Amino acid sequence: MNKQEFLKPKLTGARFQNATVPLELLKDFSALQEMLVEVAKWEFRNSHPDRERTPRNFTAEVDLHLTSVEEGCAILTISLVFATLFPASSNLTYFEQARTDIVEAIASAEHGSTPRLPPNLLNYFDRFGRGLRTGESISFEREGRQATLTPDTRNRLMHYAQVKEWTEEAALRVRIPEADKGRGSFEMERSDGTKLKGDLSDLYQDAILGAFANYNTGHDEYVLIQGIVRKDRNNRLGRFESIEHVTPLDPLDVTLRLDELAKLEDGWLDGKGKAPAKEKLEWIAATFESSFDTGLSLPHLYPTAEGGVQAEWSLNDWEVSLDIDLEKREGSYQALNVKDGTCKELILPLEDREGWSRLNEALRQLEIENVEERPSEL
Amino acid sequence: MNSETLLLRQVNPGFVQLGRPTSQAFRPTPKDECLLSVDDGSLIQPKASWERFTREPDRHSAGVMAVTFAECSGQELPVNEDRVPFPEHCSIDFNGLSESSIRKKAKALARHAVERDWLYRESQ
Repeated sequence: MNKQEFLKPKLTGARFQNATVPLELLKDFSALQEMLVEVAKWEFRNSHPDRERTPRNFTAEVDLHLTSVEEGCAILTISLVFATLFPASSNLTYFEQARTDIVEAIASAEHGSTPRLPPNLLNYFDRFGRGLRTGESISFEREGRQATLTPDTRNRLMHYAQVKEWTEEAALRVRIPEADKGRGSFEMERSDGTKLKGDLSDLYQDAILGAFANYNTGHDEYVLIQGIVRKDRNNRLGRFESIEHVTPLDPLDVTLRLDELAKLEDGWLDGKGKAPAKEKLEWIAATFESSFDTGLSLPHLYPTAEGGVQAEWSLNDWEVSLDIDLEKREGSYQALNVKDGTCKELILPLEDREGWSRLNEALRQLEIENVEERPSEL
Repeated sequence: MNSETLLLRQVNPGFVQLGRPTSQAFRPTPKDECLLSVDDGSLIQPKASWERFTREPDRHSAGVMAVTFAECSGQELPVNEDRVPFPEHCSIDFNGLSESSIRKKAKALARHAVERDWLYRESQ
């Protein structure tokens, strides 16, 4: 078996630090292989307008393999692997043209011009690039320049593909107003009231039915649904095409609560009270999810009159607050022991890891203190 | 008013999560001139206090909690029986305190109020 280096995409984003690639993104590269084969066939047919089909062995001896991951966020080496000593050279030309076509399609979309590839082939971007999150990208070299696939570029490519709907990876926090075991389906309700449908599976049926049982009881249970959802050209989400995970959420789930705070409007506090800015709430939600120690108790979260957010913990004799200034990205931490009046105060920069580490450590100390003070149940 | 008189405090819905109020509900906002409005519980019932408060335009309350006169004294917070703009109105006075001290005292008051639980909830 022989191989030849074929593509070196560079993955940029926090998930690709230290030259690692999440396995879930490999699905995207599997879609790229399918796209490459179809584009190569298209190129062959363009060169042979008299032939209706590609030769039978056109792809039989060629396969794409991931052969290495290098430093530089993560640089993948994808090689063509041949079953024979040499590839059928005439066929290889079409694969190389296909590679150029795909990279040029990304570059065109990046610059707002219509790609040369026909819409049916552009439709492969439904699956290639779907796993990218905001702030992440896949770059390809093209004659000294780069073509970069981002979630935005992919959106444009899907518009050029002229499809009415395409798919997205989604993680939605929802309530369950309807579940029908007989029909094998259920309905999800997002915090803005919009509803989506999904199929009920044995894998997550208990979590769905549990949340359904609590719908509108005053003890509403939210679940996190992760999977592939259909989306239309107006960015409206439709039905879940597949569901990978359903996770019951902690009632104090931070993102869920910050979504609620995002609905506040100026004047919320008896005519006064500045509403927190939505993009700043998104920042603190993302930072909290990535930097707050998952072993610690989640805080209650409240808006402040000045447009910030205050996190609070009641830990036995300790009342703790973190007043977060969303403009300065800074937190004022105060822990008061209501029994003996002891008080600990810190100013924490929340833009960097160090501030969050100090917060985690301060809370951990109080939680340890609580455990030590609690009388043994034995 | 005596040491056990309840001082009724309206709690804004934004200041409640899963039934727990923030300590901010027990400290004045910067625009309140360091005075925290409460109603004298010896002169008005929690439900009536809530109804009067929420009748005003732009006023929202998830319910009524309370601290006692003694609990305020325990935090060295004077209670002014100002009776303005209505006869039951009083103010817990945070004047002359640092921001840090205001936050500490608010936490202590909130703890007392939470231990006492809600006296009236909007849904009741």
